[in-house]
Amino acid sequence: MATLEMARFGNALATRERAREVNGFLAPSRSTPDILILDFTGVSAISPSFADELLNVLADRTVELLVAGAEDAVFSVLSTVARRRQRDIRPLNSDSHSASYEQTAQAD
Amino acid sequence: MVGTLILAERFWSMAGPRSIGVTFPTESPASAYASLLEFHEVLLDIARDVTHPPGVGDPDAKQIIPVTRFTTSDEVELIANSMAQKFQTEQVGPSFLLQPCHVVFSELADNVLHHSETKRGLVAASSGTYLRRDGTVQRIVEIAIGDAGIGIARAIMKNPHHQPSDDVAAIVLALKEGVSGVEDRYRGFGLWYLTQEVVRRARARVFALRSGRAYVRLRGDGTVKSKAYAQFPGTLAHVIIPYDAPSQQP
Repeated sequence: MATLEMARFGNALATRERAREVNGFLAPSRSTPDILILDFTGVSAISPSFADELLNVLADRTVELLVAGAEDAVFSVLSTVARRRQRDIRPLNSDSHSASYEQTAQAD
Repeated sequence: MVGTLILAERFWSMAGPRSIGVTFPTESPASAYASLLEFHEVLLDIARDVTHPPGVGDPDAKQIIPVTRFTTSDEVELIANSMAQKFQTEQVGPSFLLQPCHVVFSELADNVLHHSETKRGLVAASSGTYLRRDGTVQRIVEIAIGDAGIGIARAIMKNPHHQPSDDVAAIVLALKEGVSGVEDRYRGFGLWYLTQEVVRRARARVFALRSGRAYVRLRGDGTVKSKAYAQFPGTLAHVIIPYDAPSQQP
């Protein structure tokens, strides 16, 4: 299990290009975690295009996606896009814990 | 203002640099509104002479995005983050309007960068008020985005599955789910989402598109009006989101 803090990519996430940066950030890791938590704490808005491209670039990684810290409006965009892409995406139970992606990558 | 700049830039490209003069009416609300959005600064790039008397405008008007050119996705991200910051710190409008405004800007800017075949787009956004016919004051947020590109019809006709009969049909088609100039079953989502999840969420919201010879206006209550005009050299989108008060839903 690993966590990716989405706020590192911006407070308002707009473009497909920005979503592809997520893939570039994950690529250096030697192994893909079985569960990836997308932590949207600190992200106030996302666009459908960003969300669509995010799920697109994560499609090749057979990970279970959980969403943490997302405001209702942000989660609404994510879930709409996920339904369209037939991808399961669930909110993280608030009492779950995980290492940050950086910590996991270092552990690898 | 965004539409005027598109026309001015087209004239500039035909008539050469520094051949355009712009004069605003003295003491006009239009001049005050132009100043609020820093319209004159952008005009000076292409006009040799710009006069801008101060004017008296809406005292409640606030700048959300000054008239700004964008050419790259990084610039779009910067503008989006600046807009978010203004909603969070400068009270340009109620915070629940940030997400819909972000969708409007992001999706329309994405279309400029990926489908218009032009090098740059223009955007401006503000909040303010207008006087209704019944004398009451209506608060609004409005966003305009445009480009001097190939227009919506030519953009979606790059996909051989879409061959609209005219510019109005092209705009109406472009608002449907799955319609894109790109042959990808997951594309053609942004404009549809903007229409269904932003504009159709409240009956008084308005989404107007001008492209080619067409003007199409969709209201939140589902009514669509269209007209044919003279050729517009690109695409211009305008979204108006009325809201009642900071503590109430739009």
